[in-house]
Amino acid sequence: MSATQSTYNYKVVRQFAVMTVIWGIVGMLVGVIIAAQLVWPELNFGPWLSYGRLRPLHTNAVIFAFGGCSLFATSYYVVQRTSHARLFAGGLAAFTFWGWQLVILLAALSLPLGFTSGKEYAELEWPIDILITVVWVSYAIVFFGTIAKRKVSHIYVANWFFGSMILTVAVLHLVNSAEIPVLPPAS
Amino acid sequence: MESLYLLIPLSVVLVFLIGLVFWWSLRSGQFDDLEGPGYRVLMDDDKLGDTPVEVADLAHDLTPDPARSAGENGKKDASG
Repeated sequence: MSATQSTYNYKVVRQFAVMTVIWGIVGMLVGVIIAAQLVWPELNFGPWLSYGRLRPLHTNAVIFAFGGCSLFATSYYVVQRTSHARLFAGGLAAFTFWGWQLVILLAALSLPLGFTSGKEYAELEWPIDILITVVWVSYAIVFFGTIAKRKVSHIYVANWFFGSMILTVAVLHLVNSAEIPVLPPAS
Repeated sequence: MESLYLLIPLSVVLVFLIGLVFWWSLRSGQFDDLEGPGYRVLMDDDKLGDTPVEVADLAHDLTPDPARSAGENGKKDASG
């Protein structure tokens, strides 16, 4: 245990980095397919692999799977190296990896099956939204926890940007995915 | 449109929260050394623990100090 505590947590960084490449290939491949469907409409196989269902899968895969994994990987690496501290709550960091991959898999299954809330960049249905929220809160705990236990007094500038990104995405996801009727009626 | 009832209070709360964080960062000396941290990330090594202090000191030594470098070059009087 003490041996692992004396080094940085590269495992979760490596996991996210590898999945960044894989989801990048998958997401951009779906982009190529839907682009081809615009030229050859015969490529719309059944309702499941039709343009209308694959397009949100493409945007979600590229933005949230490819972009998301790359942000997880880079932020976990940068926050450790610039804080001179091992990642806070390693178990929770592992949960953010597996939880995020589960979100992506559920999106890849539910969107072709036709489950969508029909809102741009917030297409995923509410059970997945809740999982995203749990993973994102865990991400915030791991990231800001690492900053809290930093060994150098200065917070490196990149960490302010990563922290702002975490806060902004949290607000964006919560408000954009909130089911408004849940709120008490105004006045 | 209804999301404004959520967004506006949330934004007001966040503005004050971010203001507090900024106030803390000023008071706690985050902006005291505007040069050193940029050098410190370049002189990183893979070890954890007591190294940051040494590295921080090293970074501080290598930080260009206008007053000191001017004095060393004997230009202190000229610049004044």
